[in-house]
This record gives sequence, C-alpha cells and structure tokens, in this order.
Amino acid sequence: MKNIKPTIVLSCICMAVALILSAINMVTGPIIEEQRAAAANGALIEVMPDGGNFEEIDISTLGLPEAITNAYKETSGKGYVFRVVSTGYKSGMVIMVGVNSEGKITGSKCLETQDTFGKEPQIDNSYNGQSLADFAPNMISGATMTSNGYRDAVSNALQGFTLASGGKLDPAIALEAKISELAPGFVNPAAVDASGSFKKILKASNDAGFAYISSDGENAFLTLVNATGGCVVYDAEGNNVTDAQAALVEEAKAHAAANQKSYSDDLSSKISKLFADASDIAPVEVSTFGTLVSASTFKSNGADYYAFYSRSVGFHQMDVYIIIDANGAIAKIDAKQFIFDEEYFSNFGGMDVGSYKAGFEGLTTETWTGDAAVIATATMTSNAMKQSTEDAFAAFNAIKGGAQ
Amino acid sequence: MKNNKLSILLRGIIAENPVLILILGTCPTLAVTGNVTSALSMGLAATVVLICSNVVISALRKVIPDTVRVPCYIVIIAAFVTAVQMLLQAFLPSIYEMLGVYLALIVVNCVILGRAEMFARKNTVLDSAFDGLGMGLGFILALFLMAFIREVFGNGSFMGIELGFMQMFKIPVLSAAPGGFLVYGILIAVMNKLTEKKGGVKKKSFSCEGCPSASVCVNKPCLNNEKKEEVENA
Repeated sequence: MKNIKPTIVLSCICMAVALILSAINMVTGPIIEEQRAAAANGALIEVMPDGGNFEEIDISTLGLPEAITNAYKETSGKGYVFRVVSTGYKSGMVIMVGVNSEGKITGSKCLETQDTFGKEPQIDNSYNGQSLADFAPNMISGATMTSNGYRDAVSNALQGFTLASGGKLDPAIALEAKISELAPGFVNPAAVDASGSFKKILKASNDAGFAYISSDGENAFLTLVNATGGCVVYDAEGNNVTDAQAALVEEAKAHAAANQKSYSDDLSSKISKLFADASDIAPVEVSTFGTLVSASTFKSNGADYYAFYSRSVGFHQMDVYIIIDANGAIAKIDAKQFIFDEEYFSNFGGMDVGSYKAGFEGLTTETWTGDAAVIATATMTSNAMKQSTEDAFAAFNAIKGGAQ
Repeated sequence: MKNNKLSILLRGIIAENPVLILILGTCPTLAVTGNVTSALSMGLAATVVLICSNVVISALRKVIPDTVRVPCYIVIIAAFVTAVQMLLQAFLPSIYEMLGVYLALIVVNCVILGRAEMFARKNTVLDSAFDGLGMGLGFILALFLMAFIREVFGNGSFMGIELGFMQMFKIPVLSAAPGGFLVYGILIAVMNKLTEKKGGVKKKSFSCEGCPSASVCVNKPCLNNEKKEEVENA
C-alpha cells in the first residue's frame, strides 16, 4: 500500500504538466505552423517578392507543359510560381519561375543543376518583366546549352501561367513548340522575316527546311517544308491537314524554294566521286522531316541507288552522305568532316576512317542497330552519325513506300 | 539552514558557480559557447527553467515522496523546457534555430537537476527562487566569459559583428571543439586559483568527498550513495 502515494503524486504531476503544455501549445502551435509554412514558402517568395501565402495547385488536369512539376498559386491572386525541370548541358536543371497576374515574370532562380559552368546565377532573374508576348532569350556566351535549358524553362512557365490562369495558349506558340516533335531534324529553328499569309517563318539552322506558322482567324496551322521540297501541314491539334490546305502548301513551297540553300550540286559531285560511272543523277523529293538537305537517285553499273545528304549536328555541324542501294542496304557513306581528322581527338579505340565507313556498308533498316555509328570517346559525333543514317533510312523507306 | 537572501544569490555567481566550481552543465557549456549570442540565449533559457523548476519543486517539496522525487523533478523540468522551447520557436525562431538540440537538452542539464536535488527540495520557495536566479546568473556569466573569449579571439567577432582589428589575429582553434575544452580548462584553473585564498570549495581527491558539490551534500560524510552519484553523473 505504501507504493500508492508515489504513484498518485507522479501521475498527478504528469497530468498537470500535460495540461499546462497543451495550453501553451494551443497558443504557440498556430504561430509555429505559420512559420513553418513561411519557411517552405521561402523559395517561392524569392521568385515572387510580393507574394504572401502560396498553395500548391493540382496540375494534373490543366494540361501544363510536361516540364512543370509543381505549380503554386499565390492565395491573394498575385500570380503563380512554377517549378520547372529543364535540360541544359545535362538534364536535371530545376528552376523556379514566378509569374504575376499580368503574365509577367517576377523572378527566376535555378535551384539545382548538373551543369558545371556555374553560369545559372547570371541568368537568374534576367527574364524579369518579360511576358509571353515579348519573350526574348537571354544567351550567356560560353554556356549555350545552359542558356537554352533556362530559356525553355522560362518559356514553359509562361505557357503554364496562361493555362493555369484559365487562358488558352496562342495556337501559334503551341504550334511552334511542336516543331521539334514533328520535324526532329530541324536544328534550332530561328525566326526569319515573315511574309505573305504566314505570321512567323522559322528556318532550321542546319538548312533542313522551314517551318511556317499561320492562322485563318479560327484555326492555326503549322506548315513544314523540308529541304527537298516535301511539304506537310498540321493544324493546332497536330492533325495532318495537308490535302485541305493546298493554298498554304503552294505558298510555303514557293517561299522555301526561293530561300532554301541548294545542296543538290554538292550531293551530285559527291556521288560522282564515290561512283565514277554514276549517271542519271536526279534530285528526288522526300516526305520526311529529318536532317536531310538533299536527296537524289542515280544509276551506277546498271543498278539504282539513292543518295542522301544529311546535315546533323554532332560536336559541330556535320555533312554526311549516305548512299543506299535499291535493296535498302547502305552502299557507301562519307562525311565532309570526320572527327578522325581532328587532331584534338587521338584515340578512337584503334578505329580509322576506312574501317569506320566500311562498318556501315551492307546494313539495312532491319540490321541497323546504331552500333556501326559508335566512335569511342566521340559521343556527340557518334549520335549525329546515327541520326543521319536513320534519317536516310527513313527517307529511303518513304520513297520506296510511296513508289509502291 | 538560515540563509541571507543576498548571500544565496551571490553564492551561485562566484563561490559556487555551477559551471566553473561545481562543474555542472558541461555539455551545453562547451556546445553553445562558440558565439556570445547563443551563449547568452542558452544561459537565459536555462535560467528561466532553473528558477521556475526550483520554485515549483520547492513548493511541492512536502508532497513529492522521496522514492519518486527524481522522476518528478525530471517531469517538472521537462515541462518547463518544453514550454520554453515552444515559446522560443513561436516568438524567437532565430534563437530556437541557433540553440538547436541543446535547447531540448536543458532537461538533462545537471545545473537544474542538481539545484533541485541539492537546494530546492530542502528550502523555502523564496530561497529557492533566489538560488535559481543566482545559479542562473552564474551560469550565464560563465557561458558569457567562455563565449566572449572563444568568439573574440577565435573568430574575431562579437555577437556576430566582425571586429576589424581582431580579424588579423584570430586563433581559429578556439571556436572549434578543442578550443572549447581549452578555454574551459583554463577558466576552471583561474577560478580555482582565485577562490583558493578566499576559502572556496576545495577539491581533495576524486572520491565522493572530493566532489565539488560535497559541501552542499546532505549526507556528510558523503558515502557511496547511489542516488547521489546518479545526480552527479547525470
């Protein structure tokens, strides 16, 4: 029985203490919670200094650009902050972008990056005040890829703002974003002077073709013309409407023909060098939108051949020639600038130009794996060779398919 | 045990300074004296807890049974520490961040449990309050002294403000952990030298008798009492 008193006293003390602490917690709890939220908001406030409280919004139904991983709405309606993942020289750039209610950028900050130049702070906040209408990329010299990644992130955030705030993207902008998907071979399309019914004309920097953006009030169209004259028209939903838009096709083709740099003479002379008895060299139109700038058919030794000239970008701009025989097997390849010629790369695993070229010969769409293009220690060049070859195969298959 | 209130107050500051004479609360002393601001905040927080727990424990001294007194003290102290912690987090978050885990560790600060065991449970509420205040001031003073030396000479700054001329002569090791022990040892040595002549607490050996707290210990001579040791080792 003598153990009862200590037990009761200790229990009473514990209960009293618990009561007092819960009373204090009722006072301090909300304040602490507020501070926690403020700390979490820190990164958001940094890109939107006017902002107060933010709440994360559900982005799954908004159809925002995929690069946006999280979106936060300023609760008093001052705007949105987007967390955007982008790819600079390496993937995994995380950039926070604040956009105010007028659609202007209030701040941007790179939170994480794998790029090693450390140029991101130079770009942070440099887009402030810009909106979708007057968006101008800020390129930092010496960090082109990083700048590109940053530019994409900011552009995605601006598009995200338009969608998140209930607006619709200007179809022209949405279409422009589709160029890289529909014409993967058009490297860094840049705007040139617009003319005729086209609101915007973009020219691929590797001369693989032109992209034209137009709208007839209701609908917007993207017209692509490749360097061989192949043309296709897409509507805002990405449907192929080439047949219904004959006028656009005609106008775009005319513009492209007048402005396209011709590579067919170059290809012809290359064919003559590779096949001494080549005859009946005739340019041919292809309907793919890869890196090809010219395509021809010719005859040699009584057999038909198809020659493709691709300008893919490796470490530098490359000029690649791929000759495919009538059966779809690579007869010869060549390139203007082989990386083997460049002195600063010396070790390619014992590979030389001759054996590298020979590695392509005889490969068809079925037997092509991409391995033949691999040059040890020259990943960018290898990838470019791979792209050129695959573009040539695609074009060949399109020509063959069309002929059947 | 009649005590003049002033002497109770002063005792904690010099003659029975908890840090430098009684060698209590060593862990926070070494941990937070890297800079003056955190040392003062820690000292203040501990003092508040010390006064409050002393008062409550003294008021309950007739209620708390001997057998469960240590758990009772710990619960009371923990309550005050938690309260201080919540209040700091709510109203002075920067100090809360700075003190980090050491704030919660005030619960096991030997100065507080030690004073509960040595003084509050045997004295009146008012005396206990004065004892808490005196010990708290002694704790603050010792922390301030250590932090002053470590921050000014180790980091060339005072309360976070850089002292231009000290920047060229700073001794970085002082602001690191070894420097803490170094300064602590030197201060204890100086304190021993100063209090020696005035008949302060003398250490005889490393036995229980030689314990710095032996003079305030209940059972004289202090023989191997397990509960006592618990308190001293805590």
